[in-house]
Amino acid sequence: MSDLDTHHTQTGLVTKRLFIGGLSSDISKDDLIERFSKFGKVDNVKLTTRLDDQGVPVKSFAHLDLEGEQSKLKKCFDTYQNTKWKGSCLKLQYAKESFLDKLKKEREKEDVPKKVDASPAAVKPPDISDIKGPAVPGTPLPGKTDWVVGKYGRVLPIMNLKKSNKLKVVKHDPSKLCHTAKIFKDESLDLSAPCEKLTWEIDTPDSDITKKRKGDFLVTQSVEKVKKHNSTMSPVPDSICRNNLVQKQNINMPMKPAYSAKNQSPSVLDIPEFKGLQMLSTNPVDLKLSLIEDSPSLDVPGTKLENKSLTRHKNMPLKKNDFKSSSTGGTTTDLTIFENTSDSISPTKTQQKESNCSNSSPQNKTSQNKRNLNVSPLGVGAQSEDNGNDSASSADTDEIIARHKKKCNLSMQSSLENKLTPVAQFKAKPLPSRSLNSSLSDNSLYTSECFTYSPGLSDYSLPNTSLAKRTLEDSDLDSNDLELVAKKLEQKETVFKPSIVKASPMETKAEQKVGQISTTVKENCESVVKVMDCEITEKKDKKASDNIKRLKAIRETSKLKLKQQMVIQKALEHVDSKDFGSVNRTVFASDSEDDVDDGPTKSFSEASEIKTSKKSKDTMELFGSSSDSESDYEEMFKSKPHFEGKKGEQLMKMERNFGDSRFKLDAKFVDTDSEEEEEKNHINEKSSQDNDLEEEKAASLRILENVIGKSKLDKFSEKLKRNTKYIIDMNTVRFDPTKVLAQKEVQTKQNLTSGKIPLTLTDRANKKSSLSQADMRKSNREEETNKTESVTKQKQLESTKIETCTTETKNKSKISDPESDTLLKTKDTSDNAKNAAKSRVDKSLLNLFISKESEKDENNTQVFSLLDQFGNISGDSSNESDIDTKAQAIKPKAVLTGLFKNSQDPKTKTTKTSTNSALNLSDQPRKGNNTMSDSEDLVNNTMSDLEDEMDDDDLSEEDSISELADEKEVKKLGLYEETDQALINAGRIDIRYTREEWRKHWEEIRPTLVKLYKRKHKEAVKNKRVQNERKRKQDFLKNVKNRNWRHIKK
Amino acid sequence: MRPLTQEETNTFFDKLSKYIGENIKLLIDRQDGTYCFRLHKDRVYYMSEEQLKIGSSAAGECLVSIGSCFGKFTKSGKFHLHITALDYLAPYAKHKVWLKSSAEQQFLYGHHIMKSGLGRITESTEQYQGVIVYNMNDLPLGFGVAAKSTLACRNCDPMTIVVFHQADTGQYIREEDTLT
Repeated sequence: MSDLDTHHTQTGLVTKRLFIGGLSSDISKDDLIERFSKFGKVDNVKLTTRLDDQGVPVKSFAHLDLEGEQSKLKKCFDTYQNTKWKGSCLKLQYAKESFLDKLKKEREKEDVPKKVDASPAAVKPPDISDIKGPAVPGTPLPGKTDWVVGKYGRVLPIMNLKKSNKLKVVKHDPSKLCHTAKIFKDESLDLSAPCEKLTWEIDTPDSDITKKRKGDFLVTQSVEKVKKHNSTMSPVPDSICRNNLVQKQNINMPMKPAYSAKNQSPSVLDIPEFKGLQMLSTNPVDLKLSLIEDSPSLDVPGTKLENKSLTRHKNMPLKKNDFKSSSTGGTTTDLTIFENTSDSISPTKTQQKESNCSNSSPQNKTSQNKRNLNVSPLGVGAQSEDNGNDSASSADTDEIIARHKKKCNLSMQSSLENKLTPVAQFKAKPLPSRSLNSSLSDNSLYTSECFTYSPGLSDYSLPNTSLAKRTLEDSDLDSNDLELVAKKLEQKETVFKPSIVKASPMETKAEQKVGQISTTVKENCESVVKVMDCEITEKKDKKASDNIKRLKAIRETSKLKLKQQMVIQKALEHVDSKDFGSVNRTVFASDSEDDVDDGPTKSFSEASEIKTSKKSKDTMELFGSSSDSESDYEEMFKSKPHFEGKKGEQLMKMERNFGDSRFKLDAKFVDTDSEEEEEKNHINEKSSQDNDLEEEKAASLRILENVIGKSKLDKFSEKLKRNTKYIIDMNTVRFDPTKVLAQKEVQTKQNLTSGKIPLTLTDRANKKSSLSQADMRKSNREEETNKTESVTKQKQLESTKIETCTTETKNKSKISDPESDTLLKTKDTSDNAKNAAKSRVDKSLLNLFISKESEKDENNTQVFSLLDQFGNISGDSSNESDIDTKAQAIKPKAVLTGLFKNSQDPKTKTTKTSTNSALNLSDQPRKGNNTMSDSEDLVNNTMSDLEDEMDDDDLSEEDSISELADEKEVKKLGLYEETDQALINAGRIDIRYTREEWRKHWEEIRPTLVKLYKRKHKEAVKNKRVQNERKRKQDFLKNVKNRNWRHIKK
Repeated sequence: MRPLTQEETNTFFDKLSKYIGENIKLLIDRQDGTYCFRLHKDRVYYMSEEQLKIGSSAAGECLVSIGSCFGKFTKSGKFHLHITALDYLAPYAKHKVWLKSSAEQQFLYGHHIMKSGLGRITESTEQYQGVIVYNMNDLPLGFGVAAKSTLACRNCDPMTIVVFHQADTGQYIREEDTLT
């Protein structure tokens, strides 16, 4: 620290105040002086001893000023530090300044700044000691404007800095900024890689990628691309294309004679010349020009081309072909011939070009040839471009999309050809293997050569201008005169097509890379443009540059179009791919069509074309067939969903049995019994679930047994069996009319099979059955009788079955009457026909079999039989009594019947016998004979006619009476049945009988009736008691149920 | 929701048998359909097969109640009858207690039944026998446990408790939120 007393003296002596700690208490000042005097002059020794409460010294220390050399001081420290002296460890330190000294110094220092100010050596950084207060960072030094206390107590200058690219001067305050300064450690700055390693190189300089990076492109690729472009024409919708072609061909027909040779036979190069000349002859201006241009001066080509363009202008309104005009240019000079050749060649392989070139070269003069070569590339380019544009425009008339594509493709072609053709000409090497780079280099070489050959660039530039003009014209034509252009261009297309066909083998390859074309083509274009630019800059020709700029512009526009078309193409491809098979197919088809048309003229290309087309067709067929067959097989082996499962098995069987393989059965033919199966399954599931529940129930019952005790439970269950009817589930109690009926029926006719019960039950029958049910419950005996009855009934049933229809109906009719009970009563009183009654009761069970018609028939018979019976047993009176009893109450009658049955019980055995039934059978036929006639008569009669029928019945009754009188006792059964039926018509009977007769009957019956009534009353009282009891129980249950509902509502 | 285990069934039937004795059999083995007990969230529910079928399709957490709740198992494994079981137990009650109309309200508020409130009691009711409490109109009001046998009832003080309160229909209101 600077504030320690370090006084530099000139002698080198240093005065330090030392702190000596850890002294033992018995050390005196003198000892200290003695010890430290070795190292210097000891002065101002102050020894302090701390004492504790008892006065025992705890620790003592001393301060002393030591004045000596620095080295000596150090030595002093070394020797005494941590050494033992009189049993205690010494500790040496430089002591802080004594307070008094400090004060003193401060007082002195007050004057120092003034001195500093005065001193001229202010450049030195001022001392921090100048600051009065604490040296907080950022506090300015008093009296010093640009100095500030920094972070670490240093005094730093405030600087005004000007940044490198700014005018403003920034004030840099170190006190503020130094805080943000970071100290970078070495590691952080340490770079893992040396600088050399930051730059990189690819090891293989000849790889494609590196070449591309350098801007070199392989020619082979470019060639392929050219062909790809051709192929890209194919994705144009087939139909449209074909239509176009057809149209073109149609239009071409008249034109062909003129142009066919020129256009389509590249081998015959002379013809176009002549033809072109001929054509020119038609045009006087051109002819003149051509004459002028014949001279081999170097200036000519340019003017020529200009003229060409002019001629074009003229030609257009004249509805003449572009190609024609170009050919006129060609005829004027050899150049145009070359153009023609190149034109035909351009889309084809470079090799073919070469051959063409070679073909053309012999025909041209060598001097001209050179010049031609100079111009030709551009010419060709222009030509091809023209063609491209023209063809495109032709397509425009038909289909915009097609046109665009073609245009672009062809334009791109032409641009590429610009490069390729010169290469071919100059180097005369097979190009396909060569890279574009080389071609470019060649191009540059060529350009240089070209310029060496050609004296001025004007020649060179002029074609370009003409080209531009042409393109412009073309575009104009597109809009203006579409038909005309179409005509022209169609012809050109025909020229192109052969070449395309030639290239077809390559196309197949090229097609694979269709997707990449657009970009590569662009690149090519750009590269071409670049090359052109370079050349022009080298030459510094203004015109040339302008032209090239125009070219550029044209190409750019074409590029744009291309982009658009690519988008459209893609979109269309999606659509087309669905409609039409493969891209290959469409292309070849169109080509082959062309072939057919152009066939005779194209001898050279034909063969290859046909081959390719054949190939393509073959492949097509192959593909088609294979795909078809594949799909067939797939279909064959596809699992048909409707043949799966059980249903499917059935269906399969059915199909197999059907025999006809053409007829396929599908899911519709499945029988509906599958539903039944499903139901069964469902039921099975249900049953399984039920089983689970059953098991659970059993288990819980077992547990219950354990809980309650088996004996108790058994007793209870027995008890339950007895009173099952009292246990009703309140939750499920609902009024179900069918159920109620069924229950009653079941109870009343325990022995009857439920299946035999018809649904059409009359109310009466119900009533009766309920009554009889009540009766049956009364006693076990009765049940027994019922059983016996049932036996007899069954027998009867059998017998009735055997009987003829008429007898059957009769029997049934007799049985059916609910009033039979009342009749029974009357019989009872008369005690005449117990057996009959018995059998009648039995038959009452058969009520249910009655049909209404039979009832009708029976009505007649009833009347008849009733009379008969009454005749036997005081007929009329009995009738009366019947009616009366009926009027009184039905219940008592039922009771009576019950009683009657009971009384009959002993005799039931006899009735049970088959003989009885046999008798019945034997009797009934007879009766039937009588009744048959009546019934037959009456079958067709309506109910309204019943009265009249009654009279008829009366007659028949009498007959029957006479008959039955003999066999009365045997036939009673049958008679009673008949009377039962008669009671239905009681009302009518009433009318028929006189009052006296009725009274007579009544008086006869009365005592017995009274007797019966008393008995019945007794029974009724009993019944009522029982019922009351039952009712009470039911009411209770109802209450409970009601409460349930209330709770639920809550 | 699951069937009761054997232990659970034991305790459950033990409890039920105190009220309806062997009549439990009528709950298990019913003529009108298959009914069963199911445990869900410690509560025992009594439901028909149809209900079970429908209810089994519901997620356990979502199912609040199914059929009618008979009671719940406490954490210590005992079974508590709920008032919701009253409808099923009342018809089969073995031992009944009829309340005077004055004591009816007291019982419905959850108080025990004192002798003063006792209208009638089934003969031969033993001590700690489960009883069903009715009012004098034979309307079941709840469950109880006989604190004294019938004989003892006769001789006891009017203020002594005769029947311990177990559950009453007042709970439908008082414990509306917990009853399921």
